[in-house]
Amino acid sequence: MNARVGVYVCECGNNISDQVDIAALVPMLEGAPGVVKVMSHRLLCSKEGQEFLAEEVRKEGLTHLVVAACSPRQHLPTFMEVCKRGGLNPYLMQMANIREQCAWVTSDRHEATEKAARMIRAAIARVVRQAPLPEREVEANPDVIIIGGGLSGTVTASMLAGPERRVHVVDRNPTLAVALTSLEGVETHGGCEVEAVRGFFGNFEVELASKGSRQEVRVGAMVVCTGSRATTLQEMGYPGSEAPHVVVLPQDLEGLRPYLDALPSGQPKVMFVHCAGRERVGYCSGVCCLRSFKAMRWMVETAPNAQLSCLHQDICVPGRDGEREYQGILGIGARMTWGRLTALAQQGPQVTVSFRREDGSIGQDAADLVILVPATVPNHGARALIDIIGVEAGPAGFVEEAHPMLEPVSTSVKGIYVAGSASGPRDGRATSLLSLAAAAQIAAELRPGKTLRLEAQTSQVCEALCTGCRNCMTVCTYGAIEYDLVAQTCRVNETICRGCGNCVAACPSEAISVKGATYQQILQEIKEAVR
Amino acid sequence: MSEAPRGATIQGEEGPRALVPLLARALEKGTSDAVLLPLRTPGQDSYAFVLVKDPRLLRQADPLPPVQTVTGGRALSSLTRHGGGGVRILAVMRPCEARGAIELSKLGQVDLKDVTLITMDCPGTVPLQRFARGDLRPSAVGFADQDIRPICQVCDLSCAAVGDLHLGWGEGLAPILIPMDERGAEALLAMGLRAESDTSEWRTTVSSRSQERRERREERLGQLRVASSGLDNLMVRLDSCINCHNCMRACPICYCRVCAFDIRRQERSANEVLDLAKARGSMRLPMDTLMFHLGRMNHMSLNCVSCGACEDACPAGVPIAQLFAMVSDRTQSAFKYRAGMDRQQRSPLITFLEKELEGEDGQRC
Amino acid sequence: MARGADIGTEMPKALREAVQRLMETGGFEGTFTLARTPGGGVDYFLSTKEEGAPELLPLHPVMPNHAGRLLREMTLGGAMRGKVLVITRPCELRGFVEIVKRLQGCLDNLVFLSVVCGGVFPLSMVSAGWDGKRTEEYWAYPDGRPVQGLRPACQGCTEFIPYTADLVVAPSANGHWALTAGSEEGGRLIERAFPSAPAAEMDPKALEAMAVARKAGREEVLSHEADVKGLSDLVKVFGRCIGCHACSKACPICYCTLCTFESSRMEDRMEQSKGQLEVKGGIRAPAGTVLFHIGRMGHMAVSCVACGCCQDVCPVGIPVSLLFKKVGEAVQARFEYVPGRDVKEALPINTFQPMEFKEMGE
Repeated sequence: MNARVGVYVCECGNNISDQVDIAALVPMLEGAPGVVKVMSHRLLCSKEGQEFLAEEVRKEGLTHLVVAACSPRQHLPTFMEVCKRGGLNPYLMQMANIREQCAWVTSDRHEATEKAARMIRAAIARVVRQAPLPEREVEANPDVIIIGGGLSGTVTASMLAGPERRVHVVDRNPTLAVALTSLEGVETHGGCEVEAVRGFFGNFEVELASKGSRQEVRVGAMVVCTGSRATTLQEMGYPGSEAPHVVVLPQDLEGLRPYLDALPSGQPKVMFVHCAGRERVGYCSGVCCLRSFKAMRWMVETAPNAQLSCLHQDICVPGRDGEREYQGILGIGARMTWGRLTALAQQGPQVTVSFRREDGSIGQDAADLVILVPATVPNHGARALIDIIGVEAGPAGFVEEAHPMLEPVSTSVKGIYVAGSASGPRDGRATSLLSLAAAAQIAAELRPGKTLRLEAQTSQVCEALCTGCRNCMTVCTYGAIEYDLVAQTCRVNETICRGCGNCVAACPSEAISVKGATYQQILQEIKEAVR
Repeated sequence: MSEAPRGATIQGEEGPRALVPLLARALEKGTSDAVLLPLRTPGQDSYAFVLVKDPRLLRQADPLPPVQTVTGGRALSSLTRHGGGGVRILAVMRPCEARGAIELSKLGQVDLKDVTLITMDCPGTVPLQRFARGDLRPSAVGFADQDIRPICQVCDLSCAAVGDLHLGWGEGLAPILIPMDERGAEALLAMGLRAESDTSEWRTTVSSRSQERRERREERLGQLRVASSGLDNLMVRLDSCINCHNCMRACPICYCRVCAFDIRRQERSANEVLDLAKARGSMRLPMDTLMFHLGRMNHMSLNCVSCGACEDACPAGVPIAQLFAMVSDRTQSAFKYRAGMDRQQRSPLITFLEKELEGEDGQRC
Repeated sequence: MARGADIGTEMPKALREAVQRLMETGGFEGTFTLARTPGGGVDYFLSTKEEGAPELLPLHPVMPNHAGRLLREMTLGGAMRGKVLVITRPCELRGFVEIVKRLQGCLDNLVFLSVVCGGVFPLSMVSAGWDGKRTEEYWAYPDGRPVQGLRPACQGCTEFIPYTADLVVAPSANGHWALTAGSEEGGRLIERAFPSAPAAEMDPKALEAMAVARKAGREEVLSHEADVKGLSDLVKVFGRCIGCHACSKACPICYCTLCTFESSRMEDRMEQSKGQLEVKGGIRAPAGTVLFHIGRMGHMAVSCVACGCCQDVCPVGIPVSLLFKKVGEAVQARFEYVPGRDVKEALPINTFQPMEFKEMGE
């Protein structure tokens, strides 16, 4: 079948025609191979222009269309629509940017016209080698998966679950809180981990694994609610921290009871040491001072004989109730000492605490029980999970938000959100706020019934040339390539592929190519442009 | 291994031939399903890798022939690229061949899951074409041999113990089979041997041998670098190249079914060639010889094991193995990588680190 | 046919001057011929009259690549737009004609100059460093004495007279050389280039002497290792084959982008190899050594012009060109076919006669 290429040159009002000599340009294009018509038009993107062009496609029986006009960034979708209205596959159309890349970058009329001619001829050489591509749409999946069944996971789940939206909550713990499992419309996956994630916003495939079994869950969005944990004695690395009367402040204060029961009679000295592990992690966790003060108040009630002291650095008590808490502690007579913990040593029944004062001198104190108030760090497995789902980690290993102020619950991957202390140390209020925010964003951006247009220009594998080395799989950011064990070649998942072309660059055998951007198509375009 | 490995001294023949009875026993006892090693060809004029199940075929075996025909990596790839099928293979080959196999396993072309690699100290090989013509046809090569290929003469990894088992031998050293990992240790036990002998003599010998070679490699490849510096000089080194691409086909690493540079051959029209010829006065045919070599270096120099199969296969006498060694040494060291030496280290070509090549001051190959 | 022109006695000087004349008067855009490489070697060039053209060495007795294959790569996408003088040996021209029959090349605008061929020297000799003196000795070949050190395929070549060349350089009487016409175009070119040169024709005595020498040569080269009878001889002679496929890539006829023997179909799978391993006790790795050669014979022997390029590039010196010559000639005789004799002659492998191979069991 012979090509019938129509070439339409837009004057863009006077934006193009001021610089490019349209009258001289048109005859330069008429002899190009495959071209059956060349015409200019004052403003192709106008309503009238679009109708004119669609009619031209129909009337002239064009098989390919070249539109020489502005940047594709501005009007590629416009002219693709025109093709469809004219009955032409939109991938058989090529734009030549003779405005931004031509008329707007030179004041030399001759140069502009000459370059425009080259660009249009190149577009013609390209378009005749294009193949029609089907356009596919898929309904966005409104369902959501939440990784982590703690506070933030529960809040987010409760806000999102509804008749039109299924919410999955995954936690590696087999037992989940009743507050979570009793939520309607929420499917919990206890004792499971996320193994792999493929796809994109509106169309994720998440692989879950539990002991021995695998499951695939399809969702449109993901929320990371994996929380955080306290840094451990080992991680803190203080010499002597393995001493028996040294303990890390537990989440549940009842965990301190065995230590309190073992305290000597009389007035045992209990020392709270703030900022434990702060030098190692390199940041202030911001929530521990208030936690410590709450614990101290609990201690006053639980072990009233204990003499409380507190080794601290700068006191951090933001918020409405913060100052009151602090003043309360001062009021109970706890001895407050400014100092940076340097070492611990069990000496007989007591622990010797060494610290460096503000002026640099070394001080020492002794206590019957030392409670270290720990820095907050990312939860176990956070790093591995971040690698699996493909979001970014900040310098401390927490999930990095897209923007700390403007996008506090989004991540670098569209469709994957983060809430709670997975993105940094948080108190309960902040966790709640972030969880609500994430739920709100998903509700707004992933409305049930939303459709997604799938990429038409996907990659494809030539099985004859593919040797199964899987270089392409290594570089695919979307996980859109699978290795077919039977054919022993790689295969592209056309629903997930975004046509980014990383795979094409990685394949040494040229066995994979992007539809609509093949080697030959690009090569011939370049050759014509430089002829 | 944190402490020095111990090995098992083998009785019987000197050198790698001492392995043959052990391999035969492994087949007879059924601790291995098959053995891959070179056998003499039916015409007794060469050697070829054969996957042997019947121990009687081992009568024709020569674990370390004086010449490299098909490299062991290619042989293993032809057998296992679509999966090893659970066949337990004892694969006997030189260190460079084994390194090639290891690189291929990183590229999905060799399945090492059920393969026990047995390497041995290698004295080098003679040029294949001279051997085939009959004008240099020793029955074996010794460590003092001067007639070995130029690429062998600068090989500092000729005694690299990259196999699961490695045979040290030569120059008065009784053959000693050394397990280098758990798989090797199991294989040794299955052969009825115990790793009780000290390996310090072997280690000393190997250390000084590879030091000597390292120095020679730097010297010779350094000279080559000067002699091929700049496009004009490089083109002189490549002047006799007829662009046949035999080097690529002999290379164990080059696994593409159709080389990108072969696809290129058919892309220009006659008129494009004529226009180019007019612009420069003339056009040598076939075109793109330099592009082929530079492109191939680009694609595989990070995996090049300097086995020299390319130079053996070249019909035009181009010192191609030496040129590739010259380039590959630099490209690999830029990524702190030495092809085939560490099975765990990922191939730099497909490994993406956020920070790479920092501190490299642009030292060029 | 138009008259031939005497070009002189001193070869190759006379030939180079004759080519020069043709280039000046023939209206050619360029010439495809051997020439001096920057490093002092010899290779094929498409040369023009523009500045920067190398020293031309037409019909220098080497064949670094088969010209027919180079012409295929060049004209696969369509014809030359202007006339080009192509200087090649008879087997290169025949090979190209066979390629054109397979729609892989285009003859348009190519004017062929060939020669009553004295053979070429193997590539290994060239890379070993050649001294120019042998070139003059070489050109004495029309006296029938065998030239020492030629490619074995050339030593036994009886198709040394080109069929379809427009111009043929041929030995003439008394030690002279003639440029003769093989077509009307050739005749016109000779008229224009050598309007006043004395007439000269191909010397039948020289042709006779060469034919006798070559017949003897053919007997000689097809014996020894090339005298293969049966599978076990084949296995022995291909025993040292390393499966590099250089022979196939050098061959002008082998044009497939992805050779079937390199495709995934031919790759072994352990599930199948396991069975072979049991039955035979051992399998060669890689396997299929002899299959490749027999298969290739099956695909192209009907067009094999016995140029010898395959053997030139074989790293282990297998007499592959002689084996293919032997089989090729036998297959071609069956169909009374001479490859490259006439571009209009259909390929036997895709021509179907109602009655073929009437005598079975031969």
